[in-house]
Amino acid sequence: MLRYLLRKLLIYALTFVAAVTIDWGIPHLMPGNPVLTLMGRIQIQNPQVAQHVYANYMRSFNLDLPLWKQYYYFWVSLVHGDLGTSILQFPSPVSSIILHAVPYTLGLLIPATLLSWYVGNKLGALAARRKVLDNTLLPFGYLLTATPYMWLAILMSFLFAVTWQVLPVGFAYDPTAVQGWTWTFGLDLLRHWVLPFLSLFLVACGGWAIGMRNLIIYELESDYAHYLESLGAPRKLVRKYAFRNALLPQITGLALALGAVIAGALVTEIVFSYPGLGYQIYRAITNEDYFVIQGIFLFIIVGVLIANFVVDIVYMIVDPRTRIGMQEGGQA
Amino acid sequence: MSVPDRVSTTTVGDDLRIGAAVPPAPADEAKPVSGLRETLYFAVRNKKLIFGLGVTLSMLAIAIVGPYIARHPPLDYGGQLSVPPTTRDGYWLGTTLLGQDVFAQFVTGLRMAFVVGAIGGGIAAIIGMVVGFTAGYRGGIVDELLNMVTNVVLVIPTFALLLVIAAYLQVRGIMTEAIFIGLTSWPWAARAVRAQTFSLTSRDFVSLARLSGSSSRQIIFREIAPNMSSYLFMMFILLFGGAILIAATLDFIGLGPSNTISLGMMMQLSVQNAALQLHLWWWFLPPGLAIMAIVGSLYVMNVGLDEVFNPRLRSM
Amino acid sequence: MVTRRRRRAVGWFLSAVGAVAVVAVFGTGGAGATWQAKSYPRAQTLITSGTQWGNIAGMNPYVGNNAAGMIGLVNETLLRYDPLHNTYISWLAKSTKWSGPKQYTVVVRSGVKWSDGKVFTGSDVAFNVNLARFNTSRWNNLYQNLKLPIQVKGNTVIFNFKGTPNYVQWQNMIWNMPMISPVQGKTIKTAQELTTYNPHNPVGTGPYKLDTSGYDVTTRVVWAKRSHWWASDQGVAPSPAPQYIIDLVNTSNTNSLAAVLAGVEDLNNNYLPGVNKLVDSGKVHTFFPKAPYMLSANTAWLEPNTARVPLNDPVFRRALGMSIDINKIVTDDYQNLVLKASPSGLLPTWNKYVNSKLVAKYGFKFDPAAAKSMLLKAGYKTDSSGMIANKDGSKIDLAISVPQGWSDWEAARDMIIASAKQAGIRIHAVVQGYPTWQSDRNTGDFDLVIDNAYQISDSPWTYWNGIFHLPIITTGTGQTFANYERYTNQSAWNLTQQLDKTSPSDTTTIASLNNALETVLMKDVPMIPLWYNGIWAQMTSKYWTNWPAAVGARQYIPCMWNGYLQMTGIDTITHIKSTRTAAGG
Repeated sequence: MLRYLLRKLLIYALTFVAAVTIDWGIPHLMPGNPVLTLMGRIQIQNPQVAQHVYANYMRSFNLDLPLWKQYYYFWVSLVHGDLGTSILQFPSPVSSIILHAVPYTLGLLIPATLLSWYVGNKLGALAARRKVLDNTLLPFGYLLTATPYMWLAILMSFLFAVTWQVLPVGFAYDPTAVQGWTWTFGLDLLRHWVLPFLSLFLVACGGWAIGMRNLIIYELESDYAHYLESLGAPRKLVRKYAFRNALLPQITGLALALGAVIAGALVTEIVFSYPGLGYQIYRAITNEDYFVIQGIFLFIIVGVLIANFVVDIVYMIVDPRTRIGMQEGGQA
Repeated sequence: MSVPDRVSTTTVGDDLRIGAAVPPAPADEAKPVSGLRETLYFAVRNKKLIFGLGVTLSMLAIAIVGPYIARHPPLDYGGQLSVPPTTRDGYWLGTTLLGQDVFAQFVTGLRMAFVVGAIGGGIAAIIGMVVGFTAGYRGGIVDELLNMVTNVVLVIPTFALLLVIAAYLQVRGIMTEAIFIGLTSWPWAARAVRAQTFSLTSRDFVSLARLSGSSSRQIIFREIAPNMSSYLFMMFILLFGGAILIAATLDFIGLGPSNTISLGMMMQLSVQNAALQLHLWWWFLPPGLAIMAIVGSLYVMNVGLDEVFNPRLRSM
Repeated sequence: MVTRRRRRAVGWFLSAVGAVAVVAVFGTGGAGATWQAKSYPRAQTLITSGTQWGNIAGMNPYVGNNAAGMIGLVNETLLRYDPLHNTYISWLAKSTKWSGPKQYTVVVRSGVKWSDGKVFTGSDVAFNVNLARFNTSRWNNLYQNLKLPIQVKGNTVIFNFKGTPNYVQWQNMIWNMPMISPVQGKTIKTAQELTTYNPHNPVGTGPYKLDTSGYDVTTRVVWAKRSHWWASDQGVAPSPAPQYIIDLVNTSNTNSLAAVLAGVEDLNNNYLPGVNKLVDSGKVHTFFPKAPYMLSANTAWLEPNTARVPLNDPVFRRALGMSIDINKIVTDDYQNLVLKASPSGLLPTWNKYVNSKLVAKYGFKFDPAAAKSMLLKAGYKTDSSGMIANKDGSKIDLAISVPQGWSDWEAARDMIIASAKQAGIRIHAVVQGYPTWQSDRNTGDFDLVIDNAYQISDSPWTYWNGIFHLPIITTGTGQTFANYERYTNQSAWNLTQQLDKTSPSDTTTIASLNNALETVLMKDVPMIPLWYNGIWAQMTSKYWTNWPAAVGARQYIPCMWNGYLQMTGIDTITHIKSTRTAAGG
């Protein structure tokens, strides 16, 4: 078991280095000069002044150093937690932009991912049990999982916020709300959180439900299930075993799905102007704010790797075969 | 009671969806290639397959024929702004805020969706198969290395890459987008193929083939792949649907093709131009519905195919 | 192992909590509803948006992305400027004048107090002007021309110049330089520090101060009204009605529109496509009740790279100008929310400098057929597809570029391509993100761009300086920061410099210089004026009324953009009235 863990760690470390290097490459492979963008925002019309400001900024962004040195300094500042400075929102440091945005994104992602996984799997198991449910839930599930995230967000915004006006159109909290640890503010946050959360939750839920339903059906038709039934075991027992076996791939799927849900969160935040990471990425992409893109993607890479690692550990706990050192089969 | 004799799989779904899990190919079925007649017999009787295929084919028909019957070029500014759907002047789905024909954009977007799905899904399928077969058959160091590559591609946010590429290309077409999607959405397919290959490699008939002196390539192509053919076909369908969804998301955030219109771009432009607040529902509803219809029917088709290929599921 | 009963109980409990949450969330109803306790009183709060794109960088007026409204609400200027009536308004300075050929005297108003209690005196003015000694200040070049030290006698400040003063630039500086507190600003000791200065709670002379508890860099800045303000105490301006002003960070244009419609924002300065429909149906209102709805902020130009063939030929440029259907862009792209630009390119507020005779003589009109024949007569050939080719027969295929995502410019670009085709001029679109677009423009790596670099100000000199500036390349950078079209006309540049050094009392010379420069622009066509971008301003009357309007006593600019509060933006705020009485809340 320890060897399995260590090997996993090594692979993750190598993946991390490779991904981070590619991530570093992003601003440095881009054509164009980020400092010029910066200067465009300060609107300096006097060329002499512009000259000084230009030199100033080139120096502060380390852009006058050779490429390999910039790579080295990138790792150095990474260790110190310094992710650079934003161009669009100069002089805000990237880490502060991320820190302000992360709570909102995590507040959407974690409940949406976990709840949709839980509810989806349960619904899928239910549907696999009864034909009636199967015929009603299933088409719904297919529709949901085939819906692009942003389209559902647009629809929900259109229905609930614009037409019926029962929920807010966007933002994280009401402009006149006073921040603080009060019930009022908390409830206000909740009201603004509902629609973005639902958009993510519903789509993901559909996917898990269908996946689970298919897996359980497959399990119920496998040899051991028939064998148990032929021995006279109650249906409930067979279903319980089937469910547990079907759960394994779903756990791994959770790690794979994280990347997808992040993309979904990005577009949902755009539609609802929810000030999370997704929204910041969007602004950074459309304004080619390279260092913010670099920083946020780094953050996501680390997050996804950690999540994958956690899922691997959970899988290890849940699947006894890995514990006794059997070949991990199809797991990676 | 022994542990069930099958390999646990990863849940295979596309990069954006967890759904329509494709269970492992029936390991003890030995007849997929020869049972074509039997397959067809069950195929035409499977409601899900018929329904899914029907919807997909009708959308394809619209995509092929549509641009020929549209009265206006999709990007033309016709001068009639924000017109609701009408029979006048051929603006059957109305016009946008800037006076462009929604119907023309819609059918062009449908075409683009099928192109992206076929090419993007196809490229992803090919890469996934190559990587998966090699890793699954060879095992050992090769497997570990390919595993790492898969992980890296999986973890990298594809938007970042596309951004760099987009900055260099002054004119981006639909092919660029399709190729890009193909090159970045293969990891789960590779994993799934690898898992299947592992289980099949340990089978007797493969050992026999090895003993008889066949090369690896021959073994993969002649023994392993045919046993997985149904599985591979279903995987392609999932990749197809997934590519369409990924393309829609990329278009929506502004990284779409620059010289044409697509369904995702229609959604992006409608949101940017306040179609929601101005109640121009004919602008943003059709593209989303179309994507839902195509991708949904593909998934339904997939499950139907699964039931056709896998007799064990036919009882449900 | 958790028993089934226990699991069920947990399940019921969770569902109950969920039900309560749902009721609470939906029960409060309405998108704009708020709770009474623990929130800023909506009826006494002015909520604005449309200025702050992206996180708020801080409280430094010298750096972009500073908190919207800071200059004007907190840090004020010596004078203000009303572009609609072309008058200067005495503000922190009681009087300013050119007291000699090389001398400028400022008399500071008495009785002005900083928010930390200190009195505002002449030495504060000198302190702020002295900040221009750093080369990161945009007024550094004016500082070079000052004789030091600046003479201060109590409330009188006398500036002596080494050479002829730059009258236009200096005057522009006086109403744009924000007065920051020397107590806080004394930490600025280097050029670098001028850009990193960021006081936690800025001290200013203005009517508002920062409410640090409501400040959230990702979302909003909250300004709270001070108990005393010199302007209302001395009867110079009414005391502003809003107790709080909250400016929201921009997210997207459409969310702004949704917020405006829901009554969440009172004043919005975003470009909202299709807003003309909402004005016509009475949901929002704008400065003008009908087209053009908005005042004009700057000119959008088609900028040709005059260093390239065939754009180096004024005849070709003129033909290009004649082939553009600007009216179609105004009606179809902008739904009449903008105005077609005068061929002189000058904004409507500078009408007094526009010589209509010259415009009639040299200005161009939309006539693609005439454009084509003019080119053929000048010696241009046609190529195999019937489009215009160079005089040596080589193909013409110009690239036009606008920043990606600026959808109204993208539509305008497409319309330009279509209409130029009629005159036989072949143009194709190139898509670039904003930074790439900008760097290509600065390095001269483009054929045509749409640009709007020069803003409304108190003199057309700012336009001429941008168009005719020489030398083109700024030393040490490899790029240009003005004169993007790379037009070399030494005599025009000489005239521009002369305009800057002409005393404002010499109106005849000013008029003749402007006439001369307009003529150069219209005859040689270094830039093709297209339309005027608007001072986008949408207002709702749910909570506030008495907004500025085109007709009547309140012809103020309803805009919070940088540089606008010290025009007549602050008048907008001091004149609005609440729609609810204080008792009703």
